[in-house]
Amino acid sequence: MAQPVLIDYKQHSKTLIKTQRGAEYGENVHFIPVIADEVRALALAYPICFLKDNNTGQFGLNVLTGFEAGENLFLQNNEWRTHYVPIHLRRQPFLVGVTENGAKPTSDNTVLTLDMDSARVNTEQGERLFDEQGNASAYLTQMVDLLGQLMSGNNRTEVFINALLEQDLIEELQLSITLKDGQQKRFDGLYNINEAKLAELKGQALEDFKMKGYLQASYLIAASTGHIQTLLNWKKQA
Amino acid sequence: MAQAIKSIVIVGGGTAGWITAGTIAAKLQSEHADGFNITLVESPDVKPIGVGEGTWPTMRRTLKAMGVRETDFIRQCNVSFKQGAKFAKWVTGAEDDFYYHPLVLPQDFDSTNLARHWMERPFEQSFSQAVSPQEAVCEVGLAPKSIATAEYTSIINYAYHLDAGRFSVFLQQHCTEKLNVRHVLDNVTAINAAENGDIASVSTTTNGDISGDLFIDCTGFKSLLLGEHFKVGFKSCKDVLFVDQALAIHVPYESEDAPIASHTISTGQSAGWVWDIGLQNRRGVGHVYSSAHTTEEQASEELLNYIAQTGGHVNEADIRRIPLNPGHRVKFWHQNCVAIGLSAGFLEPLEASSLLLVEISASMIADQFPATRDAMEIVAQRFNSTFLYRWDRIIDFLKLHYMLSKRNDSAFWIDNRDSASIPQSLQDQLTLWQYQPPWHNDFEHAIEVFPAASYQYVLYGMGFDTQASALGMSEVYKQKASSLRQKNTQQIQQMLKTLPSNRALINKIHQYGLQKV
Repeated sequence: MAQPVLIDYKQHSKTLIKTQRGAEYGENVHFIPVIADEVRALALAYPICFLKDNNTGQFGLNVLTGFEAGENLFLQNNEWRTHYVPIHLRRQPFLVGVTENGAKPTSDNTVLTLDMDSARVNTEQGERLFDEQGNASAYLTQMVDLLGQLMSGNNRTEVFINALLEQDLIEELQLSITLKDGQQKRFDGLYNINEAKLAELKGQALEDFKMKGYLQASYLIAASTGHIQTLLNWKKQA
Repeated sequence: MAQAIKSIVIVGGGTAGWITAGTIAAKLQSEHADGFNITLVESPDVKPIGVGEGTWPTMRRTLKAMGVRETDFIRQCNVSFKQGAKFAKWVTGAEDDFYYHPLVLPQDFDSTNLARHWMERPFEQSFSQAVSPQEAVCEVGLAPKSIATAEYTSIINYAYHLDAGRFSVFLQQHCTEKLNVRHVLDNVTAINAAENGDIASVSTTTNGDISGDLFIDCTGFKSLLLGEHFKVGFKSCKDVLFVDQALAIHVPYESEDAPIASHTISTGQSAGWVWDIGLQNRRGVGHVYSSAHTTEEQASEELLNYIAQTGGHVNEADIRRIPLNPGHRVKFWHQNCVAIGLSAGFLEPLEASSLLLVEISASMIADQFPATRDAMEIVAQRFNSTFLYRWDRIIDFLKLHYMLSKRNDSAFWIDNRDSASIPQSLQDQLTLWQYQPPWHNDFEHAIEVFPAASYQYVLYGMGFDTQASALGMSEVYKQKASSLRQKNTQQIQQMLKTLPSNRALINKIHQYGLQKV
């Protein structure tokens, strides 16, 4: 369980953050939440899909990185196999804390916190949070910026997903793969764009989709599904 | 050119009227241009009876076909999930006497008759527990799905418990706003005949004459068109099914987050039984009994005892009395008029067959919608023979619950076993089932109201004895059956671990809603 604390110069003047990639930092996950703003960069390498939150049933935008818990096929010997790493991983171990209980995060009610349980947090190696004068380091400024992007991006993504749902453009993906031992495994709970319905979009809905960039994002997401094949190949080689 | 059927007039609102309107409107709208119209005339003075609060799983299909969002329906009609019925005190009347009729079929029911395997050692587990995971799920009050399961789909089969009053209003809104059904709130003052004996129009107090090509009678027990106007005869079934009175009352929960049972609980009494249906905001409880076997005072006392024993607090003065006349019309479609709902007949609330009949009647009319008046003759004949068959099968199935009882504590249960009160068709089936468990081909029709599985659940739930086959059981069959039973045990463990409680899921649906996909 993450243990977030407020970032403060007095407490964290000696704190260092390891920035390398790796399973030891909790990056061995088989899907990663992403934001709509990242779709263009992600679509070049990752299968982007929609997954439901088990607790709320609400759709979220994700990239698929493996086929079972603990499996991240993009991570090979602690090296990332593609140039782009989702913001959700890059901003760790920083978190946004919401000061009002249960409220939706906005720039007015949020604070920057640090997950002290993260293996990245130490006092021996890595990036500093503050310089000698107590000013935020370039690294910390960059992290604050990433979290800002993530927060506003989450809200935009939710609006985007609601627009897709309103037009019935999300459908369940039928995926079954053959494992090395020849066993067939079916995957439930992966959703992507219904391309046939997307092509039928017309009138005001189509205009809105074009103007807001939803149309392009939808086609990128739909096409990105093909990267599942890359993942399968990697899995076979593993 | 033959006279086309374009104009449909439904007389009577209530759940029957609105389910019929919605089902037919959605079907015609999806298949035709706008050459048809549907009008529903409803008296502002007649209150619906509003006690039909249990449905079948078919209601999911019915609502989906109408274009209703399940989330809206659940939020607005105080809906909870129903996964079958628990029958308490129907066999011996003892405190620990109960069995389940779950909604899910036994494992691999298409091709394996697990009853044969279960009968080898019936004392180890109840039949429903051995062949399906649903009894275990119901016993701990779990929901049939999770918040991540799409609308109308299930992890384990389910139907609904609903607030009948709210349901009519909800459907009315959907039908008038989305399906273009015209709603006329007015009293019908006369029924006007055409030369050929059809109904040409109905006269109303302030909206004049409303004419139509097809009239659907949803006027409840009154049966204004089919019964009063056409004088189509009524066939009483009181000689088979004895209950003829209902006492109904709403029972509040002790707290807002009280658990909601995920099944109908029906508990045998001295001359009938008590239904107990848990909605979101209250329970609907009622006692149906035979007036030939007890008095209203006695029946009322038994109802109040039941409510007290189950932790409820009610005011005796709030009990509503509803007389029942078990039976049905000798035909349901006559000339250009078809009756749906109570106007066609009513047996008793056991097994929630009333709303089911409304759904399948409306859907048959929608599917086989007569294009012309000539075609209507043929459709009407088929409708009548199909539904006479269905009523008979429902009567058989309901009677089964009573005649298998071993209770000797009152004349009601003893009289129910009198062979003179048991239809020949049921007696024949029982003779067969002494030697072999019910199976698909024991019934005439491909689509039965109650499938062979339902008969198995009731027969073996009530301790009916089917002899083991003298020919024994093959090794292959034994292995198949035991692996299915193992699978059932695994499913139970899995479901108990992952399903939320009925109340928790309903709360989440209020908070987040279910997704369409």
